Amino acid sequence: MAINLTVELFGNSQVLTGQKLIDLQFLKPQVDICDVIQALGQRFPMLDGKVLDFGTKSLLSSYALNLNGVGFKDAAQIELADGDSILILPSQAGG
Amino acid sequence: MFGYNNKILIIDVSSKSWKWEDLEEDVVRDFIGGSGLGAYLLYQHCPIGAEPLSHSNPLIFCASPLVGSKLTTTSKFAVVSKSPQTGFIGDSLSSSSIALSIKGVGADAVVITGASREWISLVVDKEGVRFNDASNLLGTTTSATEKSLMGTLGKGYDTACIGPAGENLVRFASISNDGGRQAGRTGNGAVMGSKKIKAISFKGHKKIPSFDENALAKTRIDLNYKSLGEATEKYRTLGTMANLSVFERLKILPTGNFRNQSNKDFQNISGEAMHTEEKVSTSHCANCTIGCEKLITIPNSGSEKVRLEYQSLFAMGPLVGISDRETILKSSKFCDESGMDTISAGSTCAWFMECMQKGIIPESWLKLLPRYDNEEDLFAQLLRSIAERSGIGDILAEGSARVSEAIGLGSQEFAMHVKGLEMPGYEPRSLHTMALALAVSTRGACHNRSSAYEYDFSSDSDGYKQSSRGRMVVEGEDYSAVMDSLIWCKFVRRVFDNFYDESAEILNNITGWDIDPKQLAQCGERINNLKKQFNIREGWNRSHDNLPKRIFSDPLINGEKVSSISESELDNMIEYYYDARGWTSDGIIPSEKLVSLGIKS
Ligand code: SF4
Repeated sequence: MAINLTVELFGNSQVLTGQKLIDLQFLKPQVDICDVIQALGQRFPMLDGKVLDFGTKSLLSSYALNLNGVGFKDAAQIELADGDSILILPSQAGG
Repeated sequence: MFGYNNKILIIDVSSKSWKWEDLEEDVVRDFIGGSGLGAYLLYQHCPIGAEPLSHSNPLIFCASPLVGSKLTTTSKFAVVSKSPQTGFIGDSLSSSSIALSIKGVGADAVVITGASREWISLVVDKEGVRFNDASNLLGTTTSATEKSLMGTLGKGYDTACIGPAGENLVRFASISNDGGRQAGRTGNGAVMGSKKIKAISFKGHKKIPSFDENALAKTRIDLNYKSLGEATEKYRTLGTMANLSVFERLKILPTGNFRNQSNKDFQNISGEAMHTEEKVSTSHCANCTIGCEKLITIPNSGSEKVRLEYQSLFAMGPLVGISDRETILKSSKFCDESGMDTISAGSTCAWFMECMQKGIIPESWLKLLPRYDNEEDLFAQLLRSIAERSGIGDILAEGSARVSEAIGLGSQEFAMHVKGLEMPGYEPRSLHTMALALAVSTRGACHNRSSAYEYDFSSDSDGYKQSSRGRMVVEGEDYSAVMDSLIWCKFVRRVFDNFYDESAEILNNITGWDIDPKQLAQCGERINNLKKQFNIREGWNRSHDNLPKRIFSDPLINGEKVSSISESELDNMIEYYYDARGWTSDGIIPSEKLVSLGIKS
């Protein structure tokens, strides 16, 4: 069974990669945020140290996660399902 | 006293005289500087019931103990007066070299009273205060005024000035300094215009010693390093423009005068698009390592640049339903050069354009409309007419609150202001902590005096109870009051592991005091209570803490998701907020509370 996810990039993560939307497919029954970060890291090494930390498979504190455009989530709270969109956006809201 | 000049410069432009007064240590221990000291001085110098655009309203410039410390982001000052938009306290902050020069002439604050008969430009330097004729500067833009004064006064002078909007008493006129930075909100530019002061220039290099220079030097290095880390990434890369695409995706970007029915795609004006498709350079306020300022070269305008941040991008674009990049950049530049607050200018135009669509403009006003080709052109012409106070602009220059009262016909319900100050680009129907903060803020619909959006953007926000939101807004307001009084730039806030601990230590190293973090937090509480007490004195009542009717009557519908807030939900939160502040259920400060904070009525 495959799980298809979309990652939406905002802020400098979008500028660095030149991508707004990235489709990812996982050929396994369960996927978590670490899997997503690893997959992103393989395709976009320029994100390492700027948006993601590939070593710890986590987002840098300058970025936050949002699932399907509803509410902010800590990585540990997120349960991913086929068709989900994961938004990676700047964590600073000021301005 | 270390860290301060211990002096206030009082300038009376009616009699063209000036004097120095002592600034007592007790006062700055209680109100610190910046917007806190400004609130204190306004309370002292503004007679009860003063008409904001009359000689009796003082215009106050305040530096702070951190100005001159060379700590990152601290070259800031506050401008305070009774606001011609709200009739309550009006304070705005701006940055850069002029803050150093205010302190450099030997002042911690400058209080300007009276009104001149003829247009003048004030010059403050080691010779004292000069009252120069400014008739040759009338009608000039803010950048031309600065440039002209730089030419006549010579090197080393820093200038704050008004543009044509301030001269014409547009109620939301701003004060511009250091090449286009703005003390934007609450109409201090109109107050300056009512005194017939086109500009005020400072030159001074007095160094104020700090108590422990070695400790400060270490802090400086540490903060510089941290300020270039993850805590400020957004500001350093795309600047606050980065908010636009995120807010649009999360459906919290107010569009079309908060109707949010636009089918327009605002992606082409996002921070990301601007950065990839336009020529963007970065600029810094004096002593700032972050550099959130993004200067965009305006297409088809030669090499003309505009300093663009999220609120101006929002107010010149989505708020008025415009997505044309060139129109937005030019409109923002126009507001800066005329000296008008972009949020209030955009919001007043958005309200008026909706009235036009609804056909509720009085016949006699229609004749005052400029000719226009399309929506973008209409918007540009409205801005121009407001700055000039010509045609319909003479009416709109009063701001959406006053003009909607004049039109009536239900237009007050979609005039998007609180207490007369137009709303910034945060959607209160989705962001409920922000909704409360906008409703209760002493200066009207303001996002900067609480930073309450931070709570709404946190991972716990769904579970917040109304009572917690009341407490959070109190915390956010007190914290912001301390930031705005020390003064730190808000964009450095996440650099601190423990804001009050670190700031108290820094303040002690500057002043030689022994203030503890709790006492510093209490300064924030005292400052907010004093601001509120000023408003109460000037006629505030419970009905002023509210949101525009549209926020309650028009929910946001996005597919299955409905975002709304009811009047009773807001009322409940306001009650919790008053309770957390120790105020009565009518929002009045009990006298014991004032006494406990050391505020004399
Ligand atoms: S972060 Fe931006 S606004 Fe703040 S001091 Fe630096 S350049 Fe100025």
